[in-house]
Amino acid sequence: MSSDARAAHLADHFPDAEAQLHAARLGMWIFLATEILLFAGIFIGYTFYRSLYPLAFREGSAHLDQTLGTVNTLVLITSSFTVAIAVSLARAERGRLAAATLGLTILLGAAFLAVKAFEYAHKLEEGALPGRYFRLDHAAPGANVFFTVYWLSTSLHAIHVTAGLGVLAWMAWRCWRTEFSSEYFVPIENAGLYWHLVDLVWIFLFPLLYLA
Amino acid sequence: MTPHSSSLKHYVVSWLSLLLLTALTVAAASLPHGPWSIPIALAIATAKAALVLFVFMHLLEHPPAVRLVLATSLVFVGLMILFVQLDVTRRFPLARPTDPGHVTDDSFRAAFDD
Repeated sequence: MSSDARAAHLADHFPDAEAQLHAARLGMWIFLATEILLFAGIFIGYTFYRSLYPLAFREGSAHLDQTLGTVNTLVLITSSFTVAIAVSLARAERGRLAAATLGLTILLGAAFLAVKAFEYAHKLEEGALPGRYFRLDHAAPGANVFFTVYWLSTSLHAIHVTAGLGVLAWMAWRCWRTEFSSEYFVPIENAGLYWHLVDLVWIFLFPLLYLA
Repeated sequence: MTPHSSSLKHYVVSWLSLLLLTALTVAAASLPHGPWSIPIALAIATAKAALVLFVFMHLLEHPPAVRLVLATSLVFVGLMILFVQLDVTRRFPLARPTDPGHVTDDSFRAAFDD
């Protein structure tokens, strides 16, 4: 059974399962590197505009809801923890338990997005919007630039969370069908890596936007 | 699989450390703001990122080429941020829009056009 599954998953152009695993991992990390560079563009924008408008950035930061930001950080970190456990469980061939753990991860990810949506609704209402749509009173010059960076970075991140939720749901289904084993686990491992990257980005966004 | 129970322990310890470091960075942010505020926040974030990379993402168990890919991307991110920072802090003062008011597309363009 196990060797059949392995044979089925081993592509013709790889000499053995180990070579295939190495190629898959390297490919995934190259993709993660491109994701890091994508978000780097936003971090560079942040560096640039923060140097130009230091006061506006500190006021903007103080304006954000630190409690909601902290709660979301704890939620996302916990989801990273549960996805790591799910990958271990899938590799240990405990498919049903892995699927349940992924279900918990998906709930945490959805909670993150719900808090984010609540925050966005409040910002929309008070007019803490990017660029020319900004209409907060008594704001320091350049405050609209802070909110441009805030909306761009958090929405790009939220798009990644949403995509990650889709991938995790797909993996939960495959775990439930016990498709993974100690020999074949590339899809679930890569899904986990993607989710961890989303967490990594937030680990840097949180202090820079909410605390600094 | 054998590594499961030992890696579970590592996961739990890392998770608790991540929660603790989050509490630490929030506590540090409540101190009066100074020149060290951002470096401290970034140092804590880097420690958290290291936990995620080395424990949750098993960076050291993956093929060495993976570390090369990650290091290359981080070096280039560092270079980009360094040079942008050098440019913006050493720029000729008149080239900086010091008071853009509420920057509109027009005023922003005007600040850079001449």
